[in-house]
Amino acid sequence: MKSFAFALLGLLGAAGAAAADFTGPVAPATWTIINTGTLTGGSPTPGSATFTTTQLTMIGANSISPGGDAPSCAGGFFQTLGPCQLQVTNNLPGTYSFSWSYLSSDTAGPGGDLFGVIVDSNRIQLSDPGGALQQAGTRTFAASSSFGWFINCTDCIGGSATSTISQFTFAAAVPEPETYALLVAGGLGLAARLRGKRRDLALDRA
Amino acid sequence: MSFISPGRRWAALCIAPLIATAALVGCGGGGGPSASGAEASPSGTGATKVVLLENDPSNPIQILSSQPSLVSGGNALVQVALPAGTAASGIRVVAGGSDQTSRFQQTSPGKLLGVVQGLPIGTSSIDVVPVAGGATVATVSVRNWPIEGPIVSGPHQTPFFCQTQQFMLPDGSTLGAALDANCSIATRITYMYRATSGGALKPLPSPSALPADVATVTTTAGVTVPFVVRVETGTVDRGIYQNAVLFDPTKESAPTPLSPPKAWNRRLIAIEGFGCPAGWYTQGAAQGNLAIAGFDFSLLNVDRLAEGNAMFANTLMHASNNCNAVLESEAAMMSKEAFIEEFGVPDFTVSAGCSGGSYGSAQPADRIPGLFDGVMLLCTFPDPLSIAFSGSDGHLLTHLFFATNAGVFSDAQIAAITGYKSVRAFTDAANQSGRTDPVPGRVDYPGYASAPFNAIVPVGIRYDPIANPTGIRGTVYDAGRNVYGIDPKTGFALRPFDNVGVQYGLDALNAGVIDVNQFILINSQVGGYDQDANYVLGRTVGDPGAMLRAQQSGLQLGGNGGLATIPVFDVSGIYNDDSGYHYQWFHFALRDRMAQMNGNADNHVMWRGNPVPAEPAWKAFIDWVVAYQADSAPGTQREKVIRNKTIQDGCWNGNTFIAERQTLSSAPDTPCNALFPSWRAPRLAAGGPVAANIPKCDLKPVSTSDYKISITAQQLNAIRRIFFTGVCDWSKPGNLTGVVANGSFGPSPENLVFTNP
Repeated sequence: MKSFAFALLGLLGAAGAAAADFTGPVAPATWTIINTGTLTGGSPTPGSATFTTTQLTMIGANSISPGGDAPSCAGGFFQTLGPCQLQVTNNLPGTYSFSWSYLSSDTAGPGGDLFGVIVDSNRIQLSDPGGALQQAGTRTFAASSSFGWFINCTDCIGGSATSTISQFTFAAAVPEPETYALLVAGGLGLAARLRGKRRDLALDRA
Repeated sequence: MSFISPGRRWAALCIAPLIATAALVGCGGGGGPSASGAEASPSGTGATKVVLLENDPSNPIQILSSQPSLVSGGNALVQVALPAGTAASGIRVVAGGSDQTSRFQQTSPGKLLGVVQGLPIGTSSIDVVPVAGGATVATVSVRNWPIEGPIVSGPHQTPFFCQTQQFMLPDGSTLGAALDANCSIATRITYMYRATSGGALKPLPSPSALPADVATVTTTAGVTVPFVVRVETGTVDRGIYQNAVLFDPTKESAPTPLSPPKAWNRRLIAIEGFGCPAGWYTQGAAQGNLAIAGFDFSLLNVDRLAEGNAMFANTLMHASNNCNAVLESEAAMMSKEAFIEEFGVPDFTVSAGCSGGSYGSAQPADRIPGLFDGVMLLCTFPDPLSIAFSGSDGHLLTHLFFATNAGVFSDAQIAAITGYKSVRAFTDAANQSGRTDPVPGRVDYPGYASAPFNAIVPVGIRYDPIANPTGIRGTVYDAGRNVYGIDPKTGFALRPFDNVGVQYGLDALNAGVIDVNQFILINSQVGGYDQDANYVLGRTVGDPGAMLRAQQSGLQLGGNGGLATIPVFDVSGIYNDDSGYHYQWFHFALRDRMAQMNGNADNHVMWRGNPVPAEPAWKAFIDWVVAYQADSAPGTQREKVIRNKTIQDGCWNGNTFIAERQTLSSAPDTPCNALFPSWRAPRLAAGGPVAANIPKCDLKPVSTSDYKISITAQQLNAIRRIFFTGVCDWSKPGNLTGVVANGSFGPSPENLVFTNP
């Protein structure tokens, strides 16, 4: 019985795991970094991501236009979410809080490189394409399956954007109160069953 | 009143296309449209070689009922000029290999008139030979086509649903089942009469005796007759054809060109119709009779019949049954031919209508010079394409304003960006793009209706991208697939809509109603459509051949064809720029097209009012037609039309006429504009011409000179990224061409523009 109770407490402790910065369950090695889409222009530079334990720095992709101001991203349109993205993601459900700062070096401004989060595979834009070259904010998101960030170079020419994530915290998904109740009820039931077995053993012995 | 002779009429008719072609070429320099007219190419993007099998004025044999190459139904009204010194009894007329001399009578010194019959399908000759034998005196080649068509409209639309069993005759009976797959019926005659008590026409109890209460009427020609109307119903070009005219069956024998109804004033009025959505795959269960704003455009309009006019209609001239102007004009041409072969050549033929009846009049008049001698247009649209194109622009914007960027733009900004008077006016017009959408049941902005079909078309054969991807598509483009062409990959009609380079909201930006970032947002996100009218991120690139042929065919009204040489009288009909989509700018678009193509629109008059007094307007229109037709002084027909113009632009303030050149303005800058302000449409508000006739604009680099507001280098770069191929240069003609007069889309080889492979 005692060992079961310890196990139950251990389980509850794991469900409430939290991390400050990019450590523990959200250490840099737990994130996946990919570039999607195809750059058709000259000298393509894919997006990149660099971690420290306290900060993530993302730099979007860029290249030379294949002609005039034609987009370098195949299927991409200026200021429109499209296929050419740098994505940094993991598959931990939980609550993510962070501060972000964004800086566009695109000659056409923030519309050329859109920054945002990917929550359960849905892209949510955080940078304002009609806003300033430098933007910042603090946000919290709850993800049930996966979470990450993206920089979408919409036409992938004229300069890239850099986004920095800091003051990052993560709290793994905590079971709902009903889940606790089920766990407790299950535990009590198990305990009662063990107690009954012990009594039966005593009767046998009698 | 004097009338030009049939011979002169045909000479004029045959010269008209040449004038139109010359006018077209004349517009080629200095930014005007390039000439059409070259060999038809497989892609359809080449021009068309103009070769008309037409009456040679020097030939003693003249075909009066149609062009010699466009005879239908095996009959033709023929005039023969006797050789000098030859009596009528000295010659024989041989047609289709048989002697048809007995069908001819001498109608004036040296002239014989008759209807030849039984011409074989295809090319044959009509010959005049001496009775005494010897060489043929004269001959003319004719090409006869089946009465069910097609002649110039391309392969028959399939499927095609007959509606003879639903079509109701004026006596309340129906036509019964069609006799064949071409929806044919046996021609029948119905008599109606007007009682002395007035009211609508009533069925005549017996053709052998007139009822006691029959009214008497005196026509414009001064002939007094009982008010009995003969209504003939048959099938022509697979449509249900009707004509109506005063006729006393108790005293007159069956009409012929040699003995037309004595009360006929030799004027002919075409009845068009209205609508467009769902006008495909059907024969039509009714004519397009329409009474609106004090006007009555009905086959049995008692006022017009009482004047002695003859009327004719065909269900395929009614856009609610058939929204393809090439087929519509073919039906009108064949129906008029059928009329002429039965009644004789009218002194003039006019067409008038509202909405679908406006383009039902204007497009055939432009496509086939000589078909109509004047048109009166109410509730005007240049063509259904102008509704579809402006609707498609608007539909993209409704998606932007109300779906992807809801709440970003104020109502005032939306009105300024779209050019319309209000959000309601905008969304009503935008919803008209449903006629371009083949996907049934699409849920979109309230009021939007995709894939419209007549209820007679079974749901099971209609296109559905998932359930029935090979079904028939209910769009204005697919109804015109013989013109636009077919995408070999999908089997769908090619599409002419194009919005590359269009700077939506440009005027609103320059007026300071929206800021640069909003302008960038609109143009970066407005997007376009795919073949199924689904929204896509990129702008739509129209098919070059479809865009060209839309113009060559007259599906986009050119204004350089027959409209160049006849009176065009534009009347408000509906004045409502608040809702509905019958907006004033369409009236001005038609006028501007005529002016662009012909140097000016001096043969066009516009009356605005709410309403315009109907009978004064009708009388003014007919007086104008009569006046130019009576002008025997030297000059082209266009010159005669202009110099005999008896009316001028103006508007009606109640019963007071204000003479004033009508202009498109929402500001009270003139007395008429104070009474009847007019707004615009998205592409006009993007800097495009009021004529709205450039399917694909020429592009120019993005330049600060386009913008009257302060703009940063970064914003300019953003605009350049959106328009990386450039923005529309509306000072250039784009791919504007104009109509090819008498253009054929097969099977007729004359003036062949294009045939689907």
